[in-house]
Amino acid sequence: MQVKINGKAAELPDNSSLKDLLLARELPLDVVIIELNGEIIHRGQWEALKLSPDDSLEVLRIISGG
Amino acid sequence: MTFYDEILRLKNTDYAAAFERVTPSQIARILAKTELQPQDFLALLSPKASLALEEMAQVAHRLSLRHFGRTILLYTPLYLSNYCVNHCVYCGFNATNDIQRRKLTLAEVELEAKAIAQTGLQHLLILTGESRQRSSVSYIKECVSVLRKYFSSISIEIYPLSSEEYAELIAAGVDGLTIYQEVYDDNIYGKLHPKGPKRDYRFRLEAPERAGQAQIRAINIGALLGLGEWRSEVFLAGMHLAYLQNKFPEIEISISLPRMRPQFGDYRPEFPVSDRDLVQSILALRLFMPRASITISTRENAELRDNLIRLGVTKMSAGSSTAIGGHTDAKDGIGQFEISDKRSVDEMRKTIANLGYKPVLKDWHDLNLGVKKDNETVSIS
Amino acid sequence: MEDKLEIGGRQVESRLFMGTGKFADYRLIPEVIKASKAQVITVALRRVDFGTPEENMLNYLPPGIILMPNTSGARNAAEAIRIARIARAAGCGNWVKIEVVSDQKYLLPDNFETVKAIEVLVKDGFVVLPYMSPDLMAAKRMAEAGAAAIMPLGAPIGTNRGLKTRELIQILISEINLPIIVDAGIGRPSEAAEAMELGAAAVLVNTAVATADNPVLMAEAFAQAVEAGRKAYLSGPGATRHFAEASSPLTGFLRNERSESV
Repeated sequence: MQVKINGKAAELPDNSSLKDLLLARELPLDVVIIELNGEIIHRGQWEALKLSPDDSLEVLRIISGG
Repeated sequence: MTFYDEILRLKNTDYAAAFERVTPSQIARILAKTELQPQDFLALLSPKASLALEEMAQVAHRLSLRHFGRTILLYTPLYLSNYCVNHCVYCGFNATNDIQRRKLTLAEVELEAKAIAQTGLQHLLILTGESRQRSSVSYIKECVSVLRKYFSSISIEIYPLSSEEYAELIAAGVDGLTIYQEVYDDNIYGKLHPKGPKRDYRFRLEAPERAGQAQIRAINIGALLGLGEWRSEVFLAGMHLAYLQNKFPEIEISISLPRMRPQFGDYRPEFPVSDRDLVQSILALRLFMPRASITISTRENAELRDNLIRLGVTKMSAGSSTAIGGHTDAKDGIGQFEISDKRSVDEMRKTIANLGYKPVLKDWHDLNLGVKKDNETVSIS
Repeated sequence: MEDKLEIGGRQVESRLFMGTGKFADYRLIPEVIKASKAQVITVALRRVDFGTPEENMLNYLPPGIILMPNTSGARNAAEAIRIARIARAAGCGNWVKIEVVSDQKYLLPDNFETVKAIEVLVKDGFVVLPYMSPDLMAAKRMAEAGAAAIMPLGAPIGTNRGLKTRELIQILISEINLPIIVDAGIGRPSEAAEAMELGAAAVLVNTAVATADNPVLMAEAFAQAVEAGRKAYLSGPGATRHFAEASSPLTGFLRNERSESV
C-alpha cells in the first residue's frame, strides 16, 4: 500500500503497524514524534496502530533551535 | 475593574514615609528619565522636590513645547442653570444658599451663544447645578442643539450620568466631559457633601469611565485644591488621569487644578495651597503625563496665569462668567465662584501672543456629525 | 538579594535565556549552558531527515532546565498551534515560544497571527512566550490573550545588530505589566547589559554565542553582562543631564513667596 511520509510517497507492506514502519526505517524510537493525518499519536499506541492506504504521516523530532 | 478598585489600593499609600525617603539625587534621576512611574510622580510632589522647582520647570517647559508646541487653547464656560439639590459645603450654588435661582430659556441660550461666538471662541463648556428635575438631560440636549450651531466643541460640566445618558448627549453633539472628583479623600468627601445625590463618591469617581465607554472624545478631570492635603490629592488625580489614559488610549485627557476661591457663603479652604504648591503640582503632573492637557481657569489671577503658560498649562478659560446669563446680562448675578482674571477674550489673545504663544480658538470639528454652521461648508482638506 | 524572575508560576534565577541553534557541534551545548548559567533553553521541532542519522540533541541538555520549544517554521497561527502541541507531546513541557514568520525576506514576526495562536494555546494550558515586533498595541493584545511574557526583537533575527528597537522596547517595559524579554538581534554582551539596564526582565541570546570563535567564553561574558545590567537597573543609575545651557528661570515669579512647605 502507499502512504505519505513527511510529504513523500512511500510503499509499505499491507497491514504494517506504525511501529513496523519506524523499525524498518531505523528511526530512534525514543526521539521521534508521530502525527498521523494531523493527529498526534502517543508512543503507547504505536504497536497496535495499523496503517491504512493513503495515510499521511509526519515524523518529527526535537532539534536545536533559538 | 474601575478606578474605584485602584483608589482602594492607593488608600494605603503612606505619604509621610514615601516623602521621607526621597533624596535630591533621586529627584535628579527622575528628571532625566523618559517615562515616569507612579512612585516618581509621588516623589516630585514631595516637600524635598520643591527645592528643585526650577529644574522641574525647565524639564516641564521642554516637554510641553515638544508635545503641544507654543499653543494655548481657549474656551469659556456657559452656565445654564444654578438650581441644585446638593449641599456641597464649599459651593456658591449649595441648595441651602439663599440665592436667586434661574435657568436659561432656549432663547436666552441662543443670546448667550451669540455673545460668546462674537469673541471668536469655538470651544464651550456648559454647566448646570445638579437638578435632574430643573436641568434634565433632555433640557441639556435642547441647549446643545442650539449651541452646536455656534461652536465646534461643546463640553459638559454637569452632574454625573449613566453611560446611556452620556451616549445620548454625545449623539446630540457633546464631545467633551469635565467632571471633578472635588476631593479624592473619601472621608473629607463625605464631610463636604453631607446631603444630595453627590454623596455617592463612587458614582462620581466612575463617571469619566462611563463617558469613556460611551466613546466621548475628551475628558477633563480634576481635584479642587484646598479641600484636602494637596500632595495626596494631586497624586490621586494624576493616578486617575493615568488610569483613564491607559484604559481609553483614544480619548484626549486633561486635568484641572482649580484652587478654592472665595464664593458666596463662608467656606474657607481647610488646606490652603500657595502659588508655589500649585506650580509644583502642575510641574509634577506635566512630567508624569507629558501628553495630557493641563487646564487653568480664571479662578487664578492674570499675572499667575501668564507665568503658568510656560510651565505646562495648555488650556485656559477666558472671558468667563460663573453667573447664569453672565455673558449678556450686565447685572451681576451671583456666581458659583469669584473670577480673578477678568480680562476679555481679546485681551487674553493679545497677551498670549505677546508671550510668544499662539491662542487657539478651535482644534476640533466633528465631521461625522455633519454639523454645518451658517455659511460654512465642511470639507476635509 | 532575592531577585527572581517569575514566569508561568515558575521562578527562574538566570535572566539569560539561551537558544541552541547554529552551534557547530552539539557537544558545545552543555558547556555553553553551563557557562551561561541559563535555565531556560529553546529547542525546535523538525521533520526527521531519513537520509542522515542524527544524534538526539535532548541528550546534551543538562537536567533541571526549562525547555522552551519554539514554533519556528510556522507561517500562521494554525501551524504554530500544531507545532506547540506536537512539542508538548514530545515531552518538552508546557512552555512554548510562539514564533510566526510569514515574511521570508526579513524574517520579521507576524504579530496578528501570533495573537491568534496565543489565544488558543493559553486556553490549552500552555505557558506562552510570544516573539514579536515591538508594537504597543500588539503587546497589549498579547497580554490580554494571556501571554506569560512578551519577547520583542531588538533587531531582525540573526543580525547581531543590537538594540535597534530600544525606544519601542522602553515603551513596552513602561506599559506592559508582564516580563519583557528581549529576543533576537542582541549581538554583544554590552547590548544585553543595555537591555537589562532599561528594565528588560531577561534576554534571549543564540546567534551571538553560537557564532563566536569561542562560544563558551562568550556565553560566560553574556551571563556576566546580563547580571551587571540587572544590578544596574535595580540600583537606580545616577542622572545624566540632558542640558548644560543656562536657561532663564521659569519660576522666578515665585521668589517673593516664601516656601511654606519645606
